[in-house]
Amino acid sequence: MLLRAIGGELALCAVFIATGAFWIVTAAGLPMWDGFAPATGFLPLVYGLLLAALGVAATVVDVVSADGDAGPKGPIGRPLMIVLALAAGVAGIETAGFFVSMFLSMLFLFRVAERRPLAASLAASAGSSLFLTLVFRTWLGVPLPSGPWGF
Amino acid sequence: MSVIYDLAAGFAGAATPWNLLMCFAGVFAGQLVGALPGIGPSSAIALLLPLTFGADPTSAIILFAGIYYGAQYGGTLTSVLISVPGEPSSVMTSIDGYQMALQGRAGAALGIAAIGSFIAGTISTVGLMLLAPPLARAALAFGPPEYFALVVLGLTALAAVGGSVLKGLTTGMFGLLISTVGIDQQTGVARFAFDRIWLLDGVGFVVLTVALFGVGEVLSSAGMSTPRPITTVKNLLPSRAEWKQSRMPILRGSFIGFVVGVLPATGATIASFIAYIVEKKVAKDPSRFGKGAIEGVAGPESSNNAAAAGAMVPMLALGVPGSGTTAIILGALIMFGIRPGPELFDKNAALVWTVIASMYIGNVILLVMNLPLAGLFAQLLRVPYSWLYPPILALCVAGVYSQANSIEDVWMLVVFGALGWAMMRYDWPAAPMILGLVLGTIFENSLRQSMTLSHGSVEIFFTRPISAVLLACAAVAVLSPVLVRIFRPRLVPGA
Repeated sequence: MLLRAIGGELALCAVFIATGAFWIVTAAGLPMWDGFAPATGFLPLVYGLLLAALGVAATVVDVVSADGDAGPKGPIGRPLMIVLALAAGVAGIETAGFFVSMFLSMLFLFRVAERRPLAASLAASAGSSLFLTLVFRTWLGVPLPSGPWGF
Repeated sequence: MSVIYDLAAGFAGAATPWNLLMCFAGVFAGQLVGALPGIGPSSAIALLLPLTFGADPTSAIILFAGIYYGAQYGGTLTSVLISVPGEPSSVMTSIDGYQMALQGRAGAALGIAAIGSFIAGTISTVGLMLLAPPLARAALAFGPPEYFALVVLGLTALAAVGGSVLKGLTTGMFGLLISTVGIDQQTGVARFAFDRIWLLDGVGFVVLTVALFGVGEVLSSAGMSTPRPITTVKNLLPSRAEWKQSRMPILRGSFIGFVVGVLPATGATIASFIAYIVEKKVAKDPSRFGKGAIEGVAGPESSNNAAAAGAMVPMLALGVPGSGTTAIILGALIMFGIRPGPELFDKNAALVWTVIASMYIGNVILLVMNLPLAGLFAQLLRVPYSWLYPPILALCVAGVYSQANSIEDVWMLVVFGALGWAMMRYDWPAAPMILGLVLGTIFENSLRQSMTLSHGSVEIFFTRPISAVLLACAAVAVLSPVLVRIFRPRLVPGA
């Protein structure tokens, strides 16, 4: 129960500690001091040490002050589904083009994740994709990737 | 006298058709995002950052400032009508505002909030105008050690704003850490680039900001959409009796908000709490509070608007942001190649005074727009969030891609967006991370210059008075919440 209540917090702390440790190890291979001033590796090393130390401190505080009766902070299914839909959309940008991949990604979110009516989902996805493509490609001149169909 | 000339020049700059349009767009968008669930001013500015890349910096900052103070009022709508504060600074408003709405007085609550916001916004902009230039002039004597201390103060102060100083410091440190990715500007050595060319430029401010405040907030809000009944809005002009009851709370709130907003590590939320407590303390009948007292709306609403302008004082004059949103505006200034801080009033005087003048204009626009359009904005609350977030995500993708036409940046958006969601879920503040990334280069350069000046001695940071005072303030910002936690049980039995 306790682990369930603070598991996410501990995972975040672990990310910060691991990143700090990685920075320490990598910075150790860089020059530390040049004349009177710090060189390229000094501050990354200090940041890594401090981040790891702060991560450990946050872990200790989480464990010491943990409320075992506190329930989990809501389901994570929908946010995970959205992240996956976003990642799939990004993966498709260079092959299918921005318009098509964002259209499909939004259609999935409207129709599957939010259970909206098909016709409205199609209209909202197409309208939003078209609007963004026009604004960025035509108005701002951004070369958004095109698909094999030319859009 | 020079203030008058500078302000007149500022009005000349702000009154151009394009800048007026930006000002209107800013306050309108601010109200919109303040009213809509799941989007705040930080997210709105983050989403608009890519669109302003390459634009005129003055117009872009006018737009962002408009969003910032416009959102303070937008958040009031949700507080009063559905008792869901759109912004943390509107929490206190919801207590009496929602009770007034239940009594059929939603119009009066929104009306007095609009009038109070206008008065407080105008008073605090006068304060900003009078206080920021001398503060910046005094700070012109700053050298590398003082800049180093300023960055330390900025990071620690922002870390102390949230619920946990430890979490704030950790995310701020993470931001500093990722600021070291890419080529070291002083030595030309590549760090943490892992032989990837696209990492040589480092992690972009826009990428991280859009990820944490755009994608992160979408993921966080999409998981909890609970529709609530919305009360109707009519009779926005308060009665003579209500106006009489609200006059002094508005003035007190304006003063409290500005003073609290100027102090780093405080911001609009604390200002509104203090204003509410003060109104309850000075009231003849405190038992009315919590049951629909109009002073409970007038005081906090005035103070949170005044604090928004107050927070611009340290941001513009010293480069120390007082809130998450001003941290992003500060990052935007740096993105445009403008260094916030003491030199800003000297080297970019036209920009600063045009933005200040635009804040006067924006307050008038807010008042004119709010009174007739509050009912229309209330209708926006009926839009389900599930229709909003997929296009917002697509906008995030297009915006980040447009920065460098880089798909790798978009992948970083996904990764940091997921991290931002996890941080929001467990109450880890994102603003210090942004500030760490933005100030990382200044921090490293000023440290190197200071150490070279002192021939390798760290005493330079403690023997120069301004630097020592700033570092002492940073220590107070970090230690005060810890000391309060340690000593509170002794001071308040049973706490």
